[in-house]
Amino acid sequence: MRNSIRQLMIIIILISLCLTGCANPRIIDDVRLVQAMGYDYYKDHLLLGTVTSPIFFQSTGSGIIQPKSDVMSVVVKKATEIDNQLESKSEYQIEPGKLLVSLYNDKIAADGLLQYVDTLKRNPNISILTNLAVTQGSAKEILQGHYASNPLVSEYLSDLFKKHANSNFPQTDMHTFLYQFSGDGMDPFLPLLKKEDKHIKILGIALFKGDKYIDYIPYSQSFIFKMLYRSFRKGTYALSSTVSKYVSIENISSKIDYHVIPQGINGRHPIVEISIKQIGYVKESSSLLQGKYSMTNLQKILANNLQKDGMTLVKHLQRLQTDPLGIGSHVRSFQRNWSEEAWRDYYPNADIRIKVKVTLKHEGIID
Amino acid sequence: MTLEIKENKKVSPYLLYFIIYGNEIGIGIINYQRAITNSAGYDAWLSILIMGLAVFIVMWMTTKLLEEHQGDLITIHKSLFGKWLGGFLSFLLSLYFLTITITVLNTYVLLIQVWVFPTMSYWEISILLSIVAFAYINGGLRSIASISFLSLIFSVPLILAMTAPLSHLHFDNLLPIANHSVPSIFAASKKLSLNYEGISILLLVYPFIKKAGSKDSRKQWVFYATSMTTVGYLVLYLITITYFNPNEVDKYLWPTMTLWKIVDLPFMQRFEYIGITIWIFIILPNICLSLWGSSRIFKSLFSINQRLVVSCFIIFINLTGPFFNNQPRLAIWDKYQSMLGLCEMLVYLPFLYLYNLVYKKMRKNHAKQH
Repeated sequence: MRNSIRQLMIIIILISLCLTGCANPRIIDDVRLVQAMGYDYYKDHLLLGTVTSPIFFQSTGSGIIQPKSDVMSVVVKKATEIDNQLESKSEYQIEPGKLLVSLYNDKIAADGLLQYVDTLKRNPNISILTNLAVTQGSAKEILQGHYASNPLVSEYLSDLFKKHANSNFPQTDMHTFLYQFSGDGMDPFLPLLKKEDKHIKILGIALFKGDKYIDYIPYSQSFIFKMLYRSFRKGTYALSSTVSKYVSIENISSKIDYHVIPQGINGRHPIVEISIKQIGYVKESSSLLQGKYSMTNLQKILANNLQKDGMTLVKHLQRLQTDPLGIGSHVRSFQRNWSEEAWRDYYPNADIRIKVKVTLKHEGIID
Repeated sequence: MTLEIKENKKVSPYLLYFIIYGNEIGIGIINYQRAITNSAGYDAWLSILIMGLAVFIVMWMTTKLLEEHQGDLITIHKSLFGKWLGGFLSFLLSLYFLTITITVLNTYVLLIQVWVFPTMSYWEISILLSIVAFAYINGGLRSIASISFLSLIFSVPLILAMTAPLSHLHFDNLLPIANHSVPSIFAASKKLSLNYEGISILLLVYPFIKKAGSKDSRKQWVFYATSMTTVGYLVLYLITITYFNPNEVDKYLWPTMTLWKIVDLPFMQRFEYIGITIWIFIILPNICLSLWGSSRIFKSLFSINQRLVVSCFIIFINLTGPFFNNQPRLAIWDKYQSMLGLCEMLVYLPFLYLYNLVYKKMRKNHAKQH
């Protein structure tokens, strides 16, 4: 009895091995891997969706396979129709599983990104670390362009973002966008791109209010922005023109700390004190670091400059009534009866102070 | 009434750790974050501690009960409530174990369909799983214990994958601590019952564990397993709530799976496919142990061949399965299952313990009078 059951089991398990591969295989040569997407408005209310996917051609002789970017675009009424319409143009199944970048024209972004991001979020095949970006001008043009460094625009962009997240630019991806969008007391931000001949340039940080794009901060301010956004390492900061000499500083570590001093009824109008401790070293200097520009003085000048630039940035954000730095969420973590509406009312006039302390570790290998 | 199990069918006491752990970690862990955050917000980690403590106490009561009676659930029921009422209660618990199997199997099938193979039919997956489960149950508790052991070994990559989000956590999310009302924190605790339903299997497994030496070490392994799962749930919850925004966790149907999505290895873009595949080893002990428990009660009550009972159950589950192969319907079923589990664990088991105390006292008094 037992033996016969065992034999039966073995047979069934062996037969079931034949089932492997029954479930709709997707061979890499027979699918189109969409790596980048772009959305633009077309005429009035129509949508122009563009996708790029790499195609690999065997070039004769060399044996090196050079990828080529294939760009397809369709005009549709709603974002959800794009996939459907694209299928009519493609000879192979379109797979969004390796999506690296999704671009949105600034006009589309101004009308709200959530409906587009939702389709990405819902699909289990799409990574939640997909990069999102706003483009000044047409997204299609960026995707269609030919760039010097990489024939694939998707990889070029993805490398660009990866590099920037490690230096002056804050990290942005779909997860961060959704985190900031759904969080209390914070607003999302994304990189703003522009095509420049053979390259793509990050113009700055696109600011959002809710899911709607409103304005941007120029790239030169991104170090200040990142410093006020969170603790980080790396990045460079150049002293602005108020100092006659040119000095640039490489950041080793920047640490941010929040203090909330309750004020007003129920502590509803608190003083927010952002204190930043930076450690860095001198990377470039136009002359000797002596006298007025000795290391100790330089530290003070730097701290002053960072503080001033930081205040200008915060004031600007307050005027725009957007909170990409997440100051509200930091205040929330200090207050038991925090409410989002009360904070939104208070935010434009909030008393926000910045304290910066800079320590320069060394000045390079010459005096 | 003591229950004697043949020595060659018993397993070593340390395996009890893997059995309890393997049966507790199952289907609840993929989305418990969602339900508890819904009621207690980011303070729900307190609820996990509360529930963990409650389960700990219940486990202590259960082991006391088992030690005293030197038997299993069926003999305890029989000696406390008599043949008919006791038998009926055992029968109800057998059905309870069967519902656990249904929940676990159907949730896993749906998981595969949503994440990996949307076009695969229900039976293609469920029948394969059932065959594997039957093969293990066929080998008796010893082979089920071994799959429980392997389940922990195989889940090591999953635990390692949880380190990927560590550099992106926002610990601010946890402040200010305890900013939610006490009732809402307790309400969240109640929703954790699906995560601990596996503990009831102890009532049937206990006599199968060797005592090993003069000192009975079985109890300690039960407690280790329970504390380990509680710590596991707590850590995973803290990672989830600090990686996602507390407002956002609610929107992900399976937050644990979504956490795997951020693992990005040079040779593998999407880790969650590996995760779901390995998950089969995490739910196998669940399916095997619950089916084994359920069929064992049937066997002792009606003296039927256990293999026959298991086959009937498997056929029954596969036939009813397509009805649950639908997310909203399964969500409703899960809700009832977790309510049922809560009653069984936190109401029925303590009741059994207290009833036993009263019963003992009454018998003593009765004996004194005569």
